[in-house]
Amino acid sequence: MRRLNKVALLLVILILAVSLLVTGCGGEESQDERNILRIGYMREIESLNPMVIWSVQAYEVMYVNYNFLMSWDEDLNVTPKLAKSWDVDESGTFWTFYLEEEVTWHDGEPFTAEDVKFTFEYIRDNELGYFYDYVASMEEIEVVDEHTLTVKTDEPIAWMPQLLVPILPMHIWSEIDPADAEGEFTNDNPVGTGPFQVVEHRKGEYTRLVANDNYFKGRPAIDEVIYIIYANTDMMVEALKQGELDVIADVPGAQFKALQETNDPDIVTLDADSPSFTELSFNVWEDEESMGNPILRDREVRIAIEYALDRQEMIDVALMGYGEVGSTLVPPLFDFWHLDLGDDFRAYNPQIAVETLEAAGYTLGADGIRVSPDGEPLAFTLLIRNESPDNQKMASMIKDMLAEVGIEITVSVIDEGTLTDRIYDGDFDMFIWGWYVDVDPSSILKVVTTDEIMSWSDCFYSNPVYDELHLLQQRTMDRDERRELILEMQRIFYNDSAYIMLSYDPELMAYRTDKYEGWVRNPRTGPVVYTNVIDTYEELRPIGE
Amino acid sequence: MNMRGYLLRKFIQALITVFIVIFMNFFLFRIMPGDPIRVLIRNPRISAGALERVRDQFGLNESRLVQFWIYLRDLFSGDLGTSFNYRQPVLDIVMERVPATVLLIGTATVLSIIIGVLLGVIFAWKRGTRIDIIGLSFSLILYSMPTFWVAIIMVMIFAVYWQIFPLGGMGMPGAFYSSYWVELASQLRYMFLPTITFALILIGEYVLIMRSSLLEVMREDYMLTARAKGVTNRNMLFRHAMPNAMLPVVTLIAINLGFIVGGAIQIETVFSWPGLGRLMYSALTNRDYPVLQGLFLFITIAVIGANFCADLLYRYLDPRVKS
Amino acid sequence: MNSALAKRDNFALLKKNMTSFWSIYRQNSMGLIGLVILLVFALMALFGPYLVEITVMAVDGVTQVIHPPTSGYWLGTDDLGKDILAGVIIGSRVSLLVGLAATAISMIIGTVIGIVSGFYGRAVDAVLMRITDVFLVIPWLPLMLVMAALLGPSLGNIIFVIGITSWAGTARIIRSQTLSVKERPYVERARAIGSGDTHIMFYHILPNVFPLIFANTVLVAAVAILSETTLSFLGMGDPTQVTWGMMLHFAFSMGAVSYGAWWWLLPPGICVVLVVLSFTFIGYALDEVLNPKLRRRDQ
Repeated sequence: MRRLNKVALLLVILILAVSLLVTGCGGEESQDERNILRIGYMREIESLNPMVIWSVQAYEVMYVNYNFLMSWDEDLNVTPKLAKSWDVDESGTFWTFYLEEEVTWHDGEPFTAEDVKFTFEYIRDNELGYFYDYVASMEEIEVVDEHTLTVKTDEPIAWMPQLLVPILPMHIWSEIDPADAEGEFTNDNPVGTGPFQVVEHRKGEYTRLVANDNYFKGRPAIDEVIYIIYANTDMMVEALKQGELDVIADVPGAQFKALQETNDPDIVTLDADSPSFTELSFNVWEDEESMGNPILRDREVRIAIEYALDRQEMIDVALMGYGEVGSTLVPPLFDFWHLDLGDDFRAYNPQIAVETLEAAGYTLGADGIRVSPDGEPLAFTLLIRNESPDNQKMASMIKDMLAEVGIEITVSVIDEGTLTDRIYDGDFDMFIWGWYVDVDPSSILKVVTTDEIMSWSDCFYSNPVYDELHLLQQRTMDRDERRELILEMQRIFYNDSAYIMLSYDPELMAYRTDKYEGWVRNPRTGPVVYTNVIDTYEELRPIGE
Repeated sequence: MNMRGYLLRKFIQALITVFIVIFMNFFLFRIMPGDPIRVLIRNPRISAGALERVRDQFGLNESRLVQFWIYLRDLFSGDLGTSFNYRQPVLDIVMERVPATVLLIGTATVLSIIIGVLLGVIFAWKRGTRIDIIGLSFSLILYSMPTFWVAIIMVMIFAVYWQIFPLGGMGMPGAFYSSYWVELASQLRYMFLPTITFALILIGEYVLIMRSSLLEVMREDYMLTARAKGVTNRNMLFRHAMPNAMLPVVTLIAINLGFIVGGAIQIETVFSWPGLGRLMYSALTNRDYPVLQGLFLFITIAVIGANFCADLLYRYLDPRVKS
Repeated sequence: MNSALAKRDNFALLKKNMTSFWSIYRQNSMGLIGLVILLVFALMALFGPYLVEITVMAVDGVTQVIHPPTSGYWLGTDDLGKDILAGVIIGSRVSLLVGLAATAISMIIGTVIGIVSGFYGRAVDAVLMRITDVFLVIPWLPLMLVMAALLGPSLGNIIFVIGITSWAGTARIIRSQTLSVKERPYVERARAIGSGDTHIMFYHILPNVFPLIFANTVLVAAVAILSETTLSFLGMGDPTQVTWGMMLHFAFSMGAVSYGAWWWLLPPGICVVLVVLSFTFIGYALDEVLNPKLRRRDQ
């Protein structure tokens, strides 16, 4: 019996000893000579194959590993990258690209115009990934010489130089069956021309990239970039605080606020503008297949709803104040293209909401819910994604605010897959979701054209004037002239109110300043990483070097 | 019944169970609301032709029965399907995560059995004293705690407040170590908190089962005989009581495996441990049905296999069952 | 006439059993503690939601989010500035409701399968027990997660999923008890006078396995409440409902750990532990009161 106690005691001592050893040795990891940039993120990198990726996170790795023909400066003007210059003839359909000459692939092979031609044709002929839309209108692609290339399009394309297409090495991708390219090709050692190359990819853990010694814009000052995936945000924020990470993105409001309040002099918190918005989308489909409540096809009801929503309050509470009240389809981050509505903006005013509804014949019923002239109650279902706690908070506020003006909302939480299904079946009244907007506004404006019904459109909006303007702006090569058309499109869509833009969302991020300097925001009010450009990766250097 | 007949019967039973699970697994995933392919639509800008190719690839255009046949055929050639999210064979993805989970579960189980059995013996020996009562209540309290909650509390105390252990993960990616020992120490540091938390969760049950099993054994006739023969207390405990009392612990390990897997999902989620549990969690959030399906099948078959082995072990160890 | 008499007899027996049972039970201090804790929470769930209201804490019109405990807000506020104490009290109702409803489903399935399987024996028994084995051996949490993910997040689905996955243990125990009960003389007698199977199962066997059902309910309830918490925590719960599990889910995903917001993480967790503990205590006490050997033999 006494021996038992001794054994127990021994065990306790052993455990203590091991834990002491383990905690004691922790500090010796610092002899590392390499300069490593560690980036924390919440989302997994689903693949290294550019043809199947879709998340912002996987795109970031692609941006760093590959290059585009062009890039953007802080004011979102197009700047050269793999193409050092380009020109276009008067018809607007014949483009010539002059490529950088001293570029090599990560495996040492030279980069030539053949690679670019191959990339465009490979994507065009096989309709691959996101990139197909950019090359779909290219009719003929000719290699003039080793570093010059011409592209003929079937019609003038106003956004032409801005080709968000990663240039692929022909000597590798020509061997890959297009079905595999969009299927199981893993692209484990992606060969590109970018400043870093992926050397290690552990799904759900981290992805490690090392500097490209022969990068044509000069070898980066940092030696390695590691993207580390976290299963929860707390852990990510703590890791930044303790110096295990250099920069984190995708920080939820509460943690961001806590981080700001700690006032750590070595940590910069960045409430950056991002090219995204959150919208309340209505089912306005005028078709007998539509299963949405027909009352919502009445513009007056939708406008009344917009007046009844205190979006600033929603942002203050649900988003902890991080965000900006939304208005038109193009976020103000792109200030050249964004339409400022001025007095036409329908700001929060429940009085006007009530008047609008009364004028349109929706009178108050006995139970406090308005009824239409046909006697139908103004009761709608609001679909919310299970994946977004922020949207859920907004939904409960919308419910309360609309109850004030006599509209009843039932909130239903479903997962993204189910919501997508119901959207495509036209089986919804309204839902909350968001979009990410490209640098050129053409693609977001296209989403709500009539052609996109049963494809990208999620409100089934259809307006021939709007559709006409969309085609016109795409062919208008003069930037200012095109801008007028784009502003007009935003005005039309805002007036019809098929979306209520709830918020322009920020990108909340934080980075440490005690190890590296040279963080570049792009655009001027945007983030330092997870932008469309890779300036930070090219510019970043250890402090003092 | 002879050993071979017993073995065969148990094996056939396990096989039937596996088949029922395969059947359930298939149909469970076909009754879900909605079309899985739609998960792909909103995210990637996929063309109609490409969509059709994906449908073909996943066999979504065929009838249920044909799909089941394809599923079975693929299953037996080791093909668990292709992940929606990673676009890679599910089996590869699952296999990649096995070592991390085995390491975590293995270490925690061994640790909890050693400590649990030891404590169980002490409590049984001191039955009715204050140590016993405190120990028992403590075991019951641990047993009543949600696993993830214990993990959160441990992180808060040891990683956020005191900062003596890392917050999670299996190591610092890309870290440089001056020697093997430094690397080992670092690995242990990362392992420490999740393993201890996991062991804490598991200990309670081993303590309870060991205690009650030992108490029962000590009441048996042969123990009384041994005492009458004048065998000393200590001898009785170690030579006679312990081996027999250990039997239920062996069964418990197997029965517990399902519970342990559940614990691993929670621990791995809180500690960012890159194993099967976290894979399951991310497959759930990404609605990656093929991975979820493959993972579920894999885990279930592993548990059935373990149960089968424990059955054999039990029969081998228990003198009363041996004919 | 005969059957009515038999019915009265059997339920009188049950009543007598319960009375003598209570006199033994109340000598068990663990069982009593468990009962008291459970009563407190039952009262909280019954009346709490009428007594408190989840208010938002605001100072000078500014919402005070993740605020530490203060007078008026004894357990501080969450990320929406909502009173956590009120949340815990109101959450008790749905948390317990889910637990009990799931337990009820589980007990009904387990009892029916157990009695039918034990009563009919042979092929029926073989098939039902094979299915039971499958449910016993499949790891619970993965099965529940998969089902919850496929069905979508709602309270009803959570109850269904927990109920449908947790009946196997009960079925086994009830079956073995049924096997011994059906050999008793009065069952033979009832059969001799021509009572139907359903009648025998309901009036003769059920009252006799009732104590076991009762004891097992308590253990299943503990598991059901833990399961609700875990499923909700892992994001399978209904976000529009306030439960302890959902509170912990939001606390964890909204950054309570790095905020050091112990007042947000501890109270819902402690409530779960207390309720589960009370069920475990009661179960433990019942185990000692009712003949423990009986249950252990067939497991």
